[in-house]
Amino acid sequence: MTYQNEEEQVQALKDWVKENGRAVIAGLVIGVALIGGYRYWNNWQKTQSEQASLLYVQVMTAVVSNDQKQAATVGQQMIENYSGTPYAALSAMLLAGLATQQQDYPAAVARLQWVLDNSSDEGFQHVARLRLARVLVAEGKLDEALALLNKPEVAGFASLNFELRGDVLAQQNKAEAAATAYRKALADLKMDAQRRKLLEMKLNSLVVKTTAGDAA
Amino acid sequence: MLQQIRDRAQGIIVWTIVGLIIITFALFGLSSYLSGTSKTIVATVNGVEISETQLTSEYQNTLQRLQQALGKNYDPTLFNEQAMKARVLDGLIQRELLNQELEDGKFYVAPQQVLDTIENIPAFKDETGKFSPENYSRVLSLQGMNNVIFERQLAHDIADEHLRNGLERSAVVTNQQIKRYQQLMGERRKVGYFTLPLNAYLDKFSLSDEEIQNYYEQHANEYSTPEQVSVDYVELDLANMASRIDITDEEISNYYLQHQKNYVSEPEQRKVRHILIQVNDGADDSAARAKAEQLANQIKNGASFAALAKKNSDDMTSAQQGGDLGLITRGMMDKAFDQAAFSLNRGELSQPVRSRFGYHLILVDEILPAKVKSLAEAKPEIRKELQTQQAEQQFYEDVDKLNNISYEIPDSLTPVADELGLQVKHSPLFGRSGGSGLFANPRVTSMAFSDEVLQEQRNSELVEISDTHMLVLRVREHKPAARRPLAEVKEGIIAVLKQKKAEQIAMQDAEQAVTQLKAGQTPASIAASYQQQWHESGFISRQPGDGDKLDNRLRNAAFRIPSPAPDQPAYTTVVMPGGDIAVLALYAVEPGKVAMTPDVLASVRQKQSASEGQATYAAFITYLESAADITRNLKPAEQ
Repeated sequence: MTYQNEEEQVQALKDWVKENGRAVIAGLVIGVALIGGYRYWNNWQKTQSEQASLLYVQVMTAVVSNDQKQAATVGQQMIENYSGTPYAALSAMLLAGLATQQQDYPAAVARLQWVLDNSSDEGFQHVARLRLARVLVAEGKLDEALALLNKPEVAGFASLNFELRGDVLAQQNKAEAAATAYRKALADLKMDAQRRKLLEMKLNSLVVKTTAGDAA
Repeated sequence: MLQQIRDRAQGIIVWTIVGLIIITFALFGLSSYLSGTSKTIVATVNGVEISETQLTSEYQNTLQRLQQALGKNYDPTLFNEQAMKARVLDGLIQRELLNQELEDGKFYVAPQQVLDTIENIPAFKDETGKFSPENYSRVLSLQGMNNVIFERQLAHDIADEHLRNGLERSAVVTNQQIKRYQQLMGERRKVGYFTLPLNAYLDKFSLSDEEIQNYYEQHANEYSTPEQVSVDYVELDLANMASRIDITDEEISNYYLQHQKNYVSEPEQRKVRHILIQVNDGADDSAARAKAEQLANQIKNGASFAALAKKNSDDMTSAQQGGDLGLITRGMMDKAFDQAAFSLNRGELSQPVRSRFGYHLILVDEILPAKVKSLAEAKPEIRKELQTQQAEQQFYEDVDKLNNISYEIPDSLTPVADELGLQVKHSPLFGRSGGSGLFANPRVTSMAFSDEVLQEQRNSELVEISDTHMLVLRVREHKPAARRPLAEVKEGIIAVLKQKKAEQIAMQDAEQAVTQLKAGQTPASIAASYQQQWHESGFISRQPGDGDKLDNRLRNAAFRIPSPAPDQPAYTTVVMPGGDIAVLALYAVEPGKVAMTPDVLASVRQKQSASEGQATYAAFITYLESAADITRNLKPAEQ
């Protein structure tokens, strides 16, 4: 398209602005609003997490020094006020460990289940699931525990998972299945002499009906 | 084209484009467009690049740490650079992965925690043990870092610690686990055994010459002498050349006279007093100067320097001593002070001198002149100095000649030796791993075994033992790796073969014994059929104890067999040190005793919790690695 003269050009520009001006302004406004919102959201999360980190130190101190009451107080604060931060999930697991030590298994189950329901970190979920299964075993809920453990293998966690499966199966007097699980746990184990020793002890304490005498 | 866009620029499209452009810039900023410099990338972790520069600097740091840790034992040739770099890269990748996890997981750390940590780092504290901001910035700049980077990395480290502690300390350990642990650790096993001594088998067979010959052929490497060379070489050594140069006593004494100042055994010392009028800021300057001048006048008019110093000097410590600073040498004090103090005569008072502290009046009480070495004392030193000076030029000229002539006439060292008036020396035989003295130097051995020298029979390049010690060599004699004659090694081979064969036969017997035992024959009768006795050990533990002195091989073997079913003993064979074979029966397994007292609970729980916690953290890291998109772009390690 060619323009006859300057006036026509100006007119064309005016027309374009008339036609699209609102759209451009609206686009700008929306863009700015989106950025503002995103920045604000990020900032809010950062502040939350920073505050949570301070409270987390208190939770850690209480748990390490075995101070039940203080742990319960600060732990509850954490879960109520900072549930969206990773520190809440870690605190819940710390409290679960403490509850297990007190043989308060229902409390431990509740804490770990909270992590499974609320944490967005998949790694944390894998950890919590294993530990939940461990507590369920202590409560005698063997089938529930196995149901949690019988999931597709997750890289890194396979050895811990198979060991726990072996423990459950051994308790159910399924020696062959337990032995298989322990062998898989050993196969997936990396450099960890201590766990290797314990796993071998568990394996060799089983009475397996295969021909004896060829294991040495 | 633009026209078309303009024509089609309908409302909604314009909105979207403008919105997208703005969002892009807001999220990534301009920087990602500007930093387009090309660099070599050795790995990417979820799109984040690790550059070769980073790897190299981390690799250097690692070497430095190793050097510090190993001290004198540090030998860079022990490390395969590629393999080491690969390990360092793994570490960098893991750190980046963790950084990403901490960022994605919104693991922030309160600034207060970062500050608290910094204030508690010993390197940043002053002598009184308080945090010193000056030390902080100084130490950082020494490390080539600024506080922004340092504080960011520190925040990451703290967050990482929070994560690690959280996963490790939250381990779940149930009382049931503690019970099982004790049962396993304290487990006891009841065993019986008899031994087949190897001695009994050594003479039960003969070895054919063919077997010996075969073994000799198959193990040629073990029965041969290594490849060796001896070399001829022409050597230039500055120290050696210098020691042969004659220096006359006259030359020495001339040199001594010219350079007497360099042969000082003790520098000049002066006993000085001063009065300091401090200057705190610019405004004080002229006032301080006026006061100093006024004091100087008082002293010139007969007032006591010491008394005025006591009353007026801002240097509290010396003021108490009447301004006395004791003995000083050049360079101890502020530069201006120094200059004045060492230009005054004894008993002379200085003009006010401006140092960075303020104005000083200086008085010299005593001058102890520098002590100079006598000619006799300095003689050996000067002789060596002169010898080296004179030899040096000759040395470099000779090195040039050595280099050139040995290259131009590559099939003999005699011409170059003649030209330099040196002897061609001969080395003893040495292998690739080096000999003694000069020939232990890896530069010499690798040169002697290089293709150029060994295969092509040429003179070597110049070998630099040090800056002042060089040589050129050529191979004199080459002894290729040679097999030692059979007759020489036959006895050794027979001993090895006998042992092997005896072990095999003994093992067959042991396995047959196991079969017989499983078939129900009594252990006593089986042992007797091999002229041995069956031993019953009773219950044994994992560790030896009172009255339980069973050999540890048998003990370990006993605990490595799966538990037997009741009335169905399990059997195994065990190779003992020295080659004896034992036949072992496991009768019964008894779980360890369980004690659930608070002490035991606490101690077992702690062990188990630490083990499970660490395993969980390790699993978590492996999980992160497997979930990430990692590419490595490093040359593979050479094996």
